[in-house]
Amino acid sequence: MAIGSYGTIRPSDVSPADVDIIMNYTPTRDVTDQFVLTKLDAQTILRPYFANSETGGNDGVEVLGGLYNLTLPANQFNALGIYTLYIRPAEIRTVISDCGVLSALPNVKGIIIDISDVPTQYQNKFVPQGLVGFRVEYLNPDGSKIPNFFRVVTSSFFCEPVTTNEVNVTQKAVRYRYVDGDSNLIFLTLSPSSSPTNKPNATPFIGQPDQDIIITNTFFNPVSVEIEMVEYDISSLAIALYGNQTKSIDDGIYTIYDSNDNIYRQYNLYEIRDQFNALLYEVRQSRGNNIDFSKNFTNITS
Amino acid sequence: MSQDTYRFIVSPENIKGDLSVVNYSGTPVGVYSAMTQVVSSGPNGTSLLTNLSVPILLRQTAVDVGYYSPFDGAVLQKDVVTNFIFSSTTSNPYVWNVYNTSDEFQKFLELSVYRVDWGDGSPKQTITGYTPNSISHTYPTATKQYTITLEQTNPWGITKVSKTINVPFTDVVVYNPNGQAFFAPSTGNWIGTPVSYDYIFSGDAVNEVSAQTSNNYVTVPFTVSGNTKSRINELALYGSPKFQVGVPVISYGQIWGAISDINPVYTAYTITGVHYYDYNDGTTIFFQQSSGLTSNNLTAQPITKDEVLLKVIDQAQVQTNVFVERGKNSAYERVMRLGEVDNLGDMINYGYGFFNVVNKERTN
Repeated sequence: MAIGSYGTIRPSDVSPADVDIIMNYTPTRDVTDQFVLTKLDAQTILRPYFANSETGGNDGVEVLGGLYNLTLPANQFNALGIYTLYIRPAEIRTVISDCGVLSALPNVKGIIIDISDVPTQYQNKFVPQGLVGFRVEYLNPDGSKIPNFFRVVTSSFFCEPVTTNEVNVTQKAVRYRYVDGDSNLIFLTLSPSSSPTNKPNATPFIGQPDQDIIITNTFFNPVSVEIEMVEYDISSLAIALYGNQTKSIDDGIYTIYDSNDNIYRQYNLYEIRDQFNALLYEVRQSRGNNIDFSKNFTNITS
Repeated sequence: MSQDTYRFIVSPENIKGDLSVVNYSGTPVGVYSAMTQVVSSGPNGTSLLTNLSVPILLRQTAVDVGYYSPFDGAVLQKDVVTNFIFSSTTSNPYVWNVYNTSDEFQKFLELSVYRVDWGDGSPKQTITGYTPNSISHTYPTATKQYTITLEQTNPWGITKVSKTINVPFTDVVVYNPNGQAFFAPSTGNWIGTPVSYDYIFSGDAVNEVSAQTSNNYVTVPFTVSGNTKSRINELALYGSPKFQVGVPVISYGQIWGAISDINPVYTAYTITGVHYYDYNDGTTIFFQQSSGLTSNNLTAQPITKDEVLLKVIDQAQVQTNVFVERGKNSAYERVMRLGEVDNLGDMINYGYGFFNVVNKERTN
C-alpha cells in the first residue's frame, strides 16, 4: 500500500451540452465600462471534430477528442473590437434540500438534492455516481457567491429518508439510506467532509438546507478565446506596398490592387496651384466607397 | 499563447472569401473592403460575413490521489453482494426455484432481509436460506415472460437484482463451444490424431494478472556469463603440487571451491558455485546459474485504489541511519555493552561510574 497521485492532462471529449460560452465585447482596449456580456448557445456554435479514415477511429462516430470547432456567428461579431469568449463547464444551479447522514453510517455526511429542483436539461446527470467529480460552490442568502470555496462530489446515489429513534425516545431524526432507484432524492458525499484528527469537532462546511448552490462539471478546463476584429493587419501593408497599382492619367484615379487583383483602394490624385499656376500641393485623396469599377485591373491590362 | 487562452485576429485579409464582387460591364470585379465595410455592408447594415470559424483545443486535467494497494479487498461487486439464480424442469415447467446466492459470509450483510418478487403479482416472498436451499413458486399455466426480482434490505439501503424468465420452462439448447473433431477409423480403433477439427483455441487470450508471472517467459535459473579476473590462487594448496584437480579447498569449514580440470588450453575450477575457465592467453571467463530471479520475483500486480484507507492517517515515524552506541574509546578500554553487565564488578566498571555502586558497609 502506498499513497500515490496519478494525474494526466487528456484531450477533453466534453459534449457541447455541458459547456457554457460567455462573450464579452469591447470596441477598444481603452479602460471602459462599456462592455457587453452575453451568453452564446454552445450547442449551436461548438462542434467536436470526429474521427475519420485518416485519423483512425470510427469514422464520423468517434469523437476525435480535444479539438473543437467554434463558430462565431456573424450577427454577434458585427463590429470591430475585441471579443473575449469565456468557455467554461456548464453550471447547474439548484438548492440543497437537506444536509444529512446515512442511517447505517452516521459519520458519512452529505447533501441531499431534490432532482425536481434541477433544471430539466441537467437532470440526466443526477443518477447514481453521475455527479462524481463535479464541483459544488455555494451562494450566500443575498445571492452573492462565497468566494474561494468549493467542495468536490465524491459519490452520488439515490436515497430515501428514514426516521431513526435517538437516545431520547421522544426525539426523532431523519436520516437517509441508499435505494436502487425510484427516488427523487440523491445523496451527495463531498470532499472534504470529515473533521481533521487534530480538531474532531471542526466539521467542514458542506452547505446548509435551502442554500443555493452551483454544481459544475469538471469535464474540461475553462479557456478563453480572444478574437480581435481589426481593420487592417500586416498583410494590408504588404498589399499597399507590393500590390499592383494603376494611375489613370486622364482622370487622376490611382488604384491599388490586392494580391488577387481586387480593387483595394482608389484615390484621386490632383494638384493645387495658385493664381500664377505655381504648384502648391500634390494631393492624394481617398475615394472611399466611390469606386470606379472601370479601373479594374483586368480591363486595364488586357 | 498561453495554454488556456487562444487569440485570433480577424481582418479582411483572412476572410478574403467574403469580399464583394461587382459586375462591371459583364466583368466581375472584386472589391476589397476594409473590415468596417465587411461587417456593415450587408442588407440593412448587417455583416457581409456568413460566420467565422476557429478551432480550439479543450483539455481536461485529472488528478487522482489516494492509497493504492495491489489488492483492494474492500470492494465487492454488486452481483456478489446481492444475486440469485433460478431453475426449473421440463417435468414441471411452471414451477421455478430461486436460490439466493448473495454473499452470506460478509459481516456487513448480516442484517439483510431478502424478499423475492416473482413478477406475477403474487405477494413478495421472504427467502431466509442461501443456496443450495431454494424456494419455489408455481406460475399460471400460460406462456408468458416474468421478471423475478430479489430485494435485499439492510441498514445500508435496498438493493435489487432482476432477471427475466420465460414460462413454461423449455430445455436450453446447449451450444458446444469446443467445436467438433473428426477421427479416422483404423481397424476397429480411432487414429489418435484427428483428421480435422473445426475449432482452434489460440490460448493466447489469457489476460489475467495472475498469469503474468515470470516463469511463463523465463526459464530459471538461467546462465549468467562474462569475463573476469582469475581467482585460481584462491584454490592454492600448501605444499606441492600447488594446484590439484579434484581436491576441494575448505574455508571456514565449508567447501570454498575445487579445480575440475587442468589441460594445456585452460584450467577449469569452481569457487562458491561459480565456474571459472582460465585460458592460456590470460583470459578468464565465468559461468553462473542465476539465483536472484525466480518465478516469485516478477509478478505483475494491478494497482487499485483503496478508498477505505483515504481517511487513514499514519502515525509519524522517524527513520534514521544514525546510531549512537557506547563502545570502545581507546585500545585499552574494555568493551562492554549494557546487556553484558551481569555482575557487581561489571556494574562498577561500566561506563566510568555509570552505575552508582556504593559499599554500604564502608559507608556505615
